[in-house]
Amino acid sequence: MNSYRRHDAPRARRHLTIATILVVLLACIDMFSHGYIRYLTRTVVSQAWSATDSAVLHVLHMEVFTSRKALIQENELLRTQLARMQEQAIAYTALEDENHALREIARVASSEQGITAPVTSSFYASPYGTFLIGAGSADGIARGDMVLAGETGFLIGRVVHTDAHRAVVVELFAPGAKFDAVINGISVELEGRGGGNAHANVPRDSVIASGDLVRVRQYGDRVAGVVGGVEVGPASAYQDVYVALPISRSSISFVYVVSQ
Amino acid sequence: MLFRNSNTIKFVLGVIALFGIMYAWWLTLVASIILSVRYRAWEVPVFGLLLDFAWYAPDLSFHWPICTAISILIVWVFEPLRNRLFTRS
Repeated sequence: MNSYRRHDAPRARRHLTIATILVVLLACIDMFSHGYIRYLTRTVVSQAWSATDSAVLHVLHMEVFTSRKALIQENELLRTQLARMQEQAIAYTALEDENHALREIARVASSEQGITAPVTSSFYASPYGTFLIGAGSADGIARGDMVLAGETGFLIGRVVHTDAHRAVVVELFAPGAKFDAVINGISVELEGRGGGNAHANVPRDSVIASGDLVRVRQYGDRVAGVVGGVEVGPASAYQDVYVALPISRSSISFVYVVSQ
Repeated sequence: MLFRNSNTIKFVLGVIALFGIMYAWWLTLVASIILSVRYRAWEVPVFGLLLDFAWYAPDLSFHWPICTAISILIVWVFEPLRNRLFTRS
């Protein structure tokens, strides 16, 4: 099948070459301008996502989708209720653990100050496991701040870049991210797999079970996940521990940002 | 007629890729691959660059903006295939 006219091929190739050079130039300009082009792009993406998100919701509520819509709504409601109950069960366990630790060492917990910020992008858009929040350096947010979500403040990420009124947050379980955690008193190295999931290899004789809480020492022993499953091969010296975020990412509309 | 259809296909794939930048990065990847196999698509490196501008930050486990690099690689890697399948012999 010949779809190209012969005289178009050199012109198309020239366009592609020019585009490649321009892309590399733009990337260099952005690097030397300390991310000014990135700042503009993120502003557009945030605003476009906010606008199109409400438009998509409006379309889905149209009459033509009614019968299917009702089922989808019911499923969503049941899923939300289930997720909420699971979160409450995990939150209760976390609170119980925290209460026990406080009683043992008799220390006084201090309330911590933080900033509530809206999530202004999709959690699924970024290949790097990042998302945008609608607060930045002008609001008191700094690089390295912890980002919490859920009723009891599960650690879901940290701030990696701030603009004046926007910040980029990388999920704790971003693809390729490695960090130390503690599960049931056992130190493990978790590797993020994206999508709110992480994995660790632990020695076979470690006592870890589904439902165990995952705490991150470097972030003040905060709960970052829960063990979803443990697999061990018959001849393996290690067991695979799969960790998941205890809350559904799609249900997160606001986050709480605290200094580390 | 065929030229107009090609433009339509490129336009639709381009819209899908832009939509993917905001909602799901894998949509952008799939659209970019299809565009690169079928056309000498100058848009593909631009999509990769936009993905990095929107989501990349220096302090990540990925130390380089790999979306830009991959998009340039994709569009040039398919050049021999395009030459063989889509140009007159």
